[in-house]
Amino acid sequence: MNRKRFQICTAALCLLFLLAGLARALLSPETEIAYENRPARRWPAFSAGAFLRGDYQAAAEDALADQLPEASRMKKLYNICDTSLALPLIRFLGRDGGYVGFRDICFLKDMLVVRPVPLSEKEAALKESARRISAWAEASPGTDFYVYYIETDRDLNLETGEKTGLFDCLAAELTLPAGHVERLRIDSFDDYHRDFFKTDHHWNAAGSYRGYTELCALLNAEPLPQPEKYTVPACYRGTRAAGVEGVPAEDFTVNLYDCPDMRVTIPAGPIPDYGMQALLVNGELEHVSYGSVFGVDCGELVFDTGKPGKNLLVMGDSYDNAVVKPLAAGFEKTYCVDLRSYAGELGRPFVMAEVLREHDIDAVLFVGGIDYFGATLPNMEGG
Amino acid sequence: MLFSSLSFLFLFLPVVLILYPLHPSARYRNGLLLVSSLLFYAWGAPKALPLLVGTAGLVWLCGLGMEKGLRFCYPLAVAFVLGCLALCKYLGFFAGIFGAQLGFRLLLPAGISFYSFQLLAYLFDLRRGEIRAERSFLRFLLFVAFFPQLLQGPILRYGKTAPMLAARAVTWDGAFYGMRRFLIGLAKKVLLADRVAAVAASIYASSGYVGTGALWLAALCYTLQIYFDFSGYSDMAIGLGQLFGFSLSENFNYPYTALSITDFWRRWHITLSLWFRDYVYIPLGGNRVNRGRFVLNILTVWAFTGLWHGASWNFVLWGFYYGVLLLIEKLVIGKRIERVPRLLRWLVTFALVNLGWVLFHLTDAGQLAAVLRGMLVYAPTDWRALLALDASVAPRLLTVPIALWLSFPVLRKWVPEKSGPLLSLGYLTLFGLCVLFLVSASFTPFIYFNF
Repeated sequence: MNRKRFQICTAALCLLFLLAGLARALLSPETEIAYENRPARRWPAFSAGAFLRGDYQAAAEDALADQLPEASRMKKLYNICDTSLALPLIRFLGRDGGYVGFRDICFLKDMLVVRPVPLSEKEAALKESARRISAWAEASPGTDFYVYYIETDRDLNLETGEKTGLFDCLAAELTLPAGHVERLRIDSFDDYHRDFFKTDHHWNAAGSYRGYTELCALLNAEPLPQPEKYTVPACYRGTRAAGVEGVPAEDFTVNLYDCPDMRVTIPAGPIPDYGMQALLVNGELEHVSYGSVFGVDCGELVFDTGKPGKNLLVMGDSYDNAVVKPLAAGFEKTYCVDLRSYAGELGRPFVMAEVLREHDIDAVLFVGGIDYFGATLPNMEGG
Repeated sequence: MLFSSLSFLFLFLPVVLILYPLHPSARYRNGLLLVSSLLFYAWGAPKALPLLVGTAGLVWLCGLGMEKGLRFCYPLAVAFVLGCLALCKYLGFFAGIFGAQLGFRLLLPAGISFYSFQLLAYLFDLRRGEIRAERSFLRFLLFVAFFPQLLQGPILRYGKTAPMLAARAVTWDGAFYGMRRFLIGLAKKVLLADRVAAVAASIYASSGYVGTGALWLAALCYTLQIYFDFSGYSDMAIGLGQLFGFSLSENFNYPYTALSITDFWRRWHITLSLWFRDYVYIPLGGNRVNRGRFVLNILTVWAFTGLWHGASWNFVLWGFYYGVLLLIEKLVIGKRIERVPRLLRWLVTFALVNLGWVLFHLTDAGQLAAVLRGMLVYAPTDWRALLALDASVAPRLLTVPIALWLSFPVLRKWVPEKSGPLLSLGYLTLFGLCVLFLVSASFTPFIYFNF
């Protein structure tokens, strides 16, 4: 009798857990997966077409993976175990300072990096980006077009310093006037170590300041006085550390630019400020991330200083979040467009000619790394 | 839909398990199983569902016709089943042999090799007079589409299944055994097969650094992967069958304990081996023929066995490999094999099986040749460089000896047949671990978007 009771309990517990997963996914879904820094996937709406293509089934599988009770805790526990088992080997293999791969990233000395991208993989996309930018520039003779390419760990082998030639390929295809194409030059591990976060793919305070001054020079804009720096020690684990437990948090430093007052607008309407640097400095920011400090990505962001001057259109991605506000200080209005979410948030496709005319743009700046010029820009639609 | 998918575990299975006992009648239960089986199939391969139902319908009608003495029914049905199989699975392969390129891509319906063989067995048995034709189409469709065995077997025989389709009882002990068996199968797949698979894939993807040692390790990992993957699936199928009162045939019997190739094939994918024995080998004359014909029979059966597994030359080669090994065992070595020490017999058999899986696994001829050369002609491995490519294989490497150990019947001695509280707790832990690994496989942090 006892044996049977245990059998029933075991079966009932299993069944209850299975049902709890389904109930959670359907009735009370999570909206955000903080551990993975992304929105939670929800149960999809049914459509016959999506079912026949298999999209509905794939979306349902994704939704269940996110909505199961304690899914994030399970993932964290798994990652702790997995990383703990691998870390001794990683330390042993990396003692000579070479790349040691772990899933999609690599350990290199005290940094989490990725391996360089071969030119062959991105050549077509870079040429397509260059063709688009050149065509836009030719079609808009009254507007100056600029390109600022941010070299990262994907542009060179950080062990040997050998470059992949991604920027050279892009620059060679662009037909912009001399002096309108520049880059954040990274030639060695030391350069990269100085200018980028250890646990994230973004540029750090040093890198973004260097980028800011080079951008001002490129755009002939007067830079703001050299900012003070403010550091929160050991508080930041970037996205490259996601799932890699046991990697220590790093310092997070921000440049405190003395920006003039400006009106900031996002597609939903005006906002008090872009980013939450003030909260960081006051020690009130609960979770330090690149997005929370410098501002989250959005389809169109507008800075209006109210002082007469030129209007700037910045076309980029999250890299520009750290520099766009001080950059906007040198212009009347600055429009920042992120093509990844422009159409979704504004409800219309991005059309360069219309945007230039509508906002009376004097200068267009394309800013980003290989993910922007080699993926986002060539794959955008509606331009 | 795969048994190890979250959709199956958290959506399909609990709903069917709750609905099934609501009414005791066989009509209700068969109806529920049929609807759920068709949904199960449509979930994974919606466009292939009409072919499954259509083929089953034609075979069912032809079966009835055969009993009424309509002579065209048998060749029509056999030709249709084989034709669909050939068209969907082999047309591209045979077109390639003759240098032709297909200007279109044919759908390869999931499980077509399994259900086609099940339907052919039905027709053959009917023609031999060993079974009566099924009168109810819905019951026949359930026999073909019964979801536990639809995608990867075990290949059912109608004669054995028909009584269970008509009436069956679900006992508590049977259902609990089914649950245990399902959990064991799930654990084999999730905790063992998927883990060792990552090691094999990592080694095969990094050809620049691998030498003989790494290639044998990759072969061993794939050997373990395919066993725990396939036998895990079979365990889950058998377990699910038990949950609904069906007793499905065993498909594996610790094949890596085999002491000869003949022994291995008595233990590996048993329902397929028996199918080929009953419907190809014995009709060809089996071993009651002269030596030349015997050799031809064996090679024919094994060429078909290889081809059944996939439309590619490496599968044909794999089939011939086993055909030749079996011929050597039967015609050259014979009874002398029993004088060889057991450990040596096991080692040689296991090494040959490992080599066989390399032929099976690598479809690219160039890679296959390079890997075989690397395995047979010594070359050193740069282990540091290999591991530095992706150190996440390190935790997975730890699974290899555990998987190898568990491919022997070691747990049989330790795990009692009748479950007590400790064992129940053990199964719950196993279930929790499986869910943990399955959910963690979906870990997809944003690296580039949305900050």
